[in-house]
Order: sequence, then structure tokens, then C-alpha cells
Amino acid sequence: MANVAVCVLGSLGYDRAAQGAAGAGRALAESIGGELHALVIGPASDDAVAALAAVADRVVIGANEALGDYQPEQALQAAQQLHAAGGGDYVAVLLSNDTYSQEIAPRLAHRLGGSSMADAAAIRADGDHLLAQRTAYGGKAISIYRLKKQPAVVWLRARGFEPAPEQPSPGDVTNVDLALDPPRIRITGREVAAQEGVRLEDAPVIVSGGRGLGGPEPFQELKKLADAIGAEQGASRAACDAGWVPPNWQVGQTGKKVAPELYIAIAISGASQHLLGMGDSKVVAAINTDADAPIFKHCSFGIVEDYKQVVPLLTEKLQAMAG
Amino acid sequence: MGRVLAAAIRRLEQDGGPFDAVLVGRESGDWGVGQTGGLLAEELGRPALGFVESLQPGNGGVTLRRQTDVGIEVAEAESPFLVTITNNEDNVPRIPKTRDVMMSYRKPLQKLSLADLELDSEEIRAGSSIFEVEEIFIPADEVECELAEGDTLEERVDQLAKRIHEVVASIG
Repeated sequence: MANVAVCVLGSLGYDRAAQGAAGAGRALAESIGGELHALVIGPASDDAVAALAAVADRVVIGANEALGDYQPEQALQAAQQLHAAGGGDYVAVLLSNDTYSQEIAPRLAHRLGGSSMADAAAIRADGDHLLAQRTAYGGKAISIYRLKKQPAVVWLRARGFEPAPEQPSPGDVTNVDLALDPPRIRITGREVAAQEGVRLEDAPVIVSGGRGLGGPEPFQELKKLADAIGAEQGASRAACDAGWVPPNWQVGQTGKKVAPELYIAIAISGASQHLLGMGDSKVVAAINTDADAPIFKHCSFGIVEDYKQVVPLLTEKLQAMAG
Repeated sequence: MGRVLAAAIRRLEQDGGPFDAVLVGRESGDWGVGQTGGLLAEELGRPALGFVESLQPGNGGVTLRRQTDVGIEVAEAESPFLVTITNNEDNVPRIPKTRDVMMSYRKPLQKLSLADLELDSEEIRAGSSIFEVEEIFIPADEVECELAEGDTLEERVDQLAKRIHEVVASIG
């Protein structure tokens, strides 16, 4: 029998991305009449394991302490061994869109003799093959790929998928001890960017700034606006590349893919690469001086005005409304 | 592609031993699938790290800095290894001087065919055995934008504020 595996990092827990990946996995498994297995790299909290067991038919955990501290070479070894421990008969191995999953996916596909694909927004089985839909040409086109080898190892635009439904009875949980070599590239330090509140990917409201701001200082002004409505701050690639804000603020093709309830784009023209990062937002608002900027073709409402005029006044009004 | 690149790299290494580092872009600007680096690392059997923004030799190895979801990560690597490179404010291409452009014509340019690499098979010539593009189309996703109206800036911003407040309040 053919099954589907969702591969999650224990340290990230059963977050919204993992929920979406599991949801995509369950839908695929149902379509081929197979089971959904969760392969967990590294120790996970009891809550995360229970949540995974509730939605999967089987949970296999590689709980080696060493895997708690992510090292790419070891995570790969773990994924390969967990794949075998879970039965190995997978048509697809699905991953989320965090940095770690992204770098593991193609290498895991190679080790398993399968096909790899990145950033899929939709997947479905077609005979022995998996079809994966994603964007191309910086978001200007949509392409559908036929993945010819099994398993198809795919990292997904995971937050765009509905979370997996709970099953009538929880799946079996197995812990396996994995054989890990010392990593030949070792991550020795993390300069975790100071982040208040929730992760950008999970934020319900995002206020982003772009090239049109002209420097780092205006982001302070945008912060006041963000605070007034409980939003997180993001930026376009231009603003990040210029060093105005940290790289992990970047929303876009080579940055984060976000899907908030409300996305406010300020002084962002809306290049297709940026739209690719925030196109799943429910409501988009734009503030831009250029009425012909592409962002106005992708937003629900907006204002054609200089942000310098708008933002302080807007912040004041929203503070009053919230108060 | 990974197999062809790996074969070419091995050919070049026959003379001077393994390259300390193989640098690959994180993804192409057109298809942007971003798989070549990882597949090449596996073909070469070398450790790899993605999304690297800088490399600095030292301590008998190389110190790497890379961009991740959570912030900057620092890593130590022993050669040989592979990294995929991402953009940051420092690693933008510089325009070469005319003299350097002229000098570049004197650099050796070695051309290798598939036959040279002993890869001239049906499978390789057919393109990727891993995946193929089934369909490609332009999405029609433009929406009607409602622009704030009013005689004064005050009125227009007020309208915008109300719309934003409405959405934020609905999230709860």
C-alpha cells in the first residue's frame, strides 16, 4: 500500500505550517487510499506529539537529543532513517516552508531516489506521479510540474493549506533511536533577531515598508502604526538589501511567504517577487504615491499619497479608534 | 543538471584535488525552484549549507554566516563543502573595469561535452528525469482596488483608517 509522510522538525512543534503540511498530506493520502504518517526529526513537546497523533495514522519520532540542535547533515540522516522506519512506501514526503525544511528537501529526495520540488501551493496524485503547482518567473506565471520519481519530496507553502482534521482515534507513536554521524558543517551560533510578539509568518496583521521609504528611520514611524493595530513589521527585498531592516523581515520570493488577515504595504511598488510573498493575504491595503504602481492591482483598498503625510495621521486615528 | 555539474567539477578536480568550496546561487530568477545546490551536494557527497551570505577563512576551516527564519546563523565548515549563496547588502556584483574585461579574454576557457564527461546517455539528453513542466499559465488575479476619496487629506486618511479598523476589529 502507498502512504504519505509529513516530515516535521520537533523543535518547531506542530505550528501552523506543520498543520498545513499535515492537512495537505491527509488530503493526498485520502485520494490514494493510503495512510498519513508523521516523521518527526528530533525531540518534540508532549503537546506537539499528541497533536500529531490526533491527525496522523502513525507518528515516528527520532528523539535523539543531538537533533534538538538543528544541524543540516544530521537532520538529513534522521529524515532518511525515519523514512525507512515508517515503512518507506511513501508516494510523497511533505515538508513545511521553514529554512531548514527547504534545505533538507532536495537532498532528501536525492538520497531516497525520488523527485524534489519546492514551494508547492497545491499537490495531487496522477497515477504514479505527483503533480505540484507553484509560481514561476517571479510570480508572473503559474506552473504545474509532473514529479516522475517516487517518493516526491516536496516542501509546501504550508500555511496556505487547511490544517489536518483530527482522526477518530489517535495514531500509534513510535520512538526510534537513530545512528547519526558528527556533522561536517556545524552551526555554532545563532544571532536570533530580536523579535517581539509572534513570527511574521503567523502574524494576523503585517505592516510592511519598501524602497520608497528611502532609509531606515521611517520604519520607526511605521512601528508606531504597527503597534496601534497589533501588527508585526515586514519589508520588501529592496529595504532589506539596503540594510535598513534585518533580512528576516523580508517578504517575497526570496524571503518569507506570509498569509495574514491584513497586509499593509507602504511605499512598496508591488514587484511580482514581492507579491509572491504576500499574495495569500486575505486583505491588502496600500499606501503609495504612484497610482500606477502594480500594488494597486493587488489590493482591496488604498490611498495614493505620500506615506509621510498619511502614516502619522493614520496612526493617530487608529489609536483613537482602538482606545 | 546536478549530475552534469558534479561530473564537470570532478573533471576539473583531477588536476588540483577537490575545490575547498563550491558556491551555487540559492535559486534561479526564472523558474526559481532552488534545487540545484542541494542535488549537487549529494552528487558530490559533500556537506552543504543553504542561504549563506558570507564566507570567512580562519581556524583551519571556514566560518559561514547565513540567513534563516530565526535570524543569522554562524557555522564552521571543513573543506570540501558546498554552499548556496543568498543576497545581502555586501555581495552585489561589481562592474568590472575595462582592463579586467580585456584581460578576461586571455583566461583559459575549457569546453566539456557530455561525451567528455562520459554522460552522453539517452536519459541525460532527455532533460530532467526527476520532473517536467506539465503546464504553465498566467494567473488572472488582479482585483479592483478601492481608493480613498475625499476633498482633504484628513477625509481620505479617515476613510483608510476606518477600513483598516474594520478588518482589525473583525480579527478580534
